[in-house]
Amino acid sequence: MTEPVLDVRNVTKTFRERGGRRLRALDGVSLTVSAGECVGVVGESGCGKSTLARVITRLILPDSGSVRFCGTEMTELRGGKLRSAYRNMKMIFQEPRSSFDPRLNIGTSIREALRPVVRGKKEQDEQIARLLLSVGLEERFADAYPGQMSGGECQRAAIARAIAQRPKLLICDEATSALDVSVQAQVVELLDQIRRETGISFLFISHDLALVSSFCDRVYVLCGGRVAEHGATLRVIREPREEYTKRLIGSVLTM
Amino acid sequence: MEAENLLEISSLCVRYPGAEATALRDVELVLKAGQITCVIGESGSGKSTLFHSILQLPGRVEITQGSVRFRGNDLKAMPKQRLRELRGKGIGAVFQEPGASLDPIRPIRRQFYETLRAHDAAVTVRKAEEKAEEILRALEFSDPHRILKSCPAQLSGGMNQRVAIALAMAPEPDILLCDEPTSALDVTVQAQIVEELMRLRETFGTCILLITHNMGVVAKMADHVAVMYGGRIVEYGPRKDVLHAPAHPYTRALMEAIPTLDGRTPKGIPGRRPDVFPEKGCAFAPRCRMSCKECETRGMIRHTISGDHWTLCPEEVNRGD
Repeated sequence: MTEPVLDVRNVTKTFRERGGRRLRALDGVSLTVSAGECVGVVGESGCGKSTLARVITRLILPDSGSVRFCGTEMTELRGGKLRSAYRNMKMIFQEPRSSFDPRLNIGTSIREALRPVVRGKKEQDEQIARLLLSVGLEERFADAYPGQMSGGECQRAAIARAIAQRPKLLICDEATSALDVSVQAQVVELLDQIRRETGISFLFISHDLALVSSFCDRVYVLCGGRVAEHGATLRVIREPREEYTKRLIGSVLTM
Repeated sequence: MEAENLLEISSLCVRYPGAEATALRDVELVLKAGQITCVIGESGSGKSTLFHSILQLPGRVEITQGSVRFRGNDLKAMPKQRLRELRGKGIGAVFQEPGASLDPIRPIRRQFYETLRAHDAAVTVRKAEEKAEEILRALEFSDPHRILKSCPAQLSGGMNQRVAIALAMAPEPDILLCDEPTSALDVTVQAQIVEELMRLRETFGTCILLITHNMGVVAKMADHVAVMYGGRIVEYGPRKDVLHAPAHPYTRALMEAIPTLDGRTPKGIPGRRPDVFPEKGCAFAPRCRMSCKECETRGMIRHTISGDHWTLCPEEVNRGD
């Protein structure tokens, strides 16, 4: 069997709160994402979703456990090796506008992402136009500044930048939560299309179980820093085994 | 017997002070005693503008045409003093961020006292506390004493929102306006707040106007639904009719964009929302699957579907449904 793209094993992370109390944000979390797979992580605020994303992207180091990405141990990487690992791992954040430099136009921001892989301004320009087109934005958006764009357009541009270097893994941390439903649906359609066309793996972190069900093959339910339950998305939703999952599903207001 | 009309909004046109563009156009809405009306729509559709037109907070919106009447009295013509009395006692409000209506470092019992005192100079600290406790019990807070002693900064966002609702209910308003009261909260807390608002209507018979973009909340709570797009109410009717037999192309598209638990991929609505709402014609026409050229120029009229379920579409358009 081939190695999964991402293999998180037994990761634990404790924060020290003010007053010396300890908060165990992640408690023995294990998770895998195979090539081309789309894996969801759901849970409520404070369950450890974002800490998990930050550990995987090595923005913080775990207390113990391992994060293997494409066969390399992320927790041991430094400097240039870490940077080259980042080429294969991209992240899309909740707030589309704050993930761009407000003083750079979108084209320049995407060019920065392209620079290590595409040389020559002309080639870069072509590539930028192609990327924008692939996320449903017209070429003119290369000259637009983040402040001039709607949330949905900005998030599309963030996706264009994230896929510029053809990463192996795209981590979406509440990537559509700040958007209106109709725009959210547009962005999910786009992510789904990218996934089918490129085979990029996704780690889709969201509080919205319904959204995860529409997009992910498998899902991990996170509660209090632990994996409460995981499995094929529709199985977890139709036959939840854990009390917490049942409660979470029960509280989704349906039509 | 027909329920009493508490609030009547008719042909309301509104703009922001100093701006040319119209933010609300020809809005018609009636709120009846004891009913829950949900206003749904996306950001920029005019939901919050409608909210402000009812609250009449100074400097927020300017009514250019039409009226908002509370128990028959035009709010625009009302003296400032009476408006102040009306806010809180006649019309209570709950906002999206519980922090927006609570002082973070003042004990909650103190905030109840101040709220009640503002409407009745005879209220004592003792009386206010009794009243506060009564409301918290009615809303099934497990430990009202602890809550009343705490400051909002010590409580969670969900708990603060529950407190904000209780506080808005303290002067026993006839109408409770809620602007996205659950949007900033987790799903389990959201479900709890929805339950609470329903119980509140049961207990106090309060008329609730709830602004939300969450269809699940609408499906659970609403008696009537108003769908907004481009500064107009484009569809209105009983919940069942609007959610299960939507008439306006926008409402239909919106339904398909909502993620559900069955694994269906939500469908986006192509295009983007208008920055400026057109003077004449339909604001949704450029994104509408059923529109024709004339949709952007013709006047808008109400098409009655059945009973009080209606939709707003350009006149003389064969809607072909």
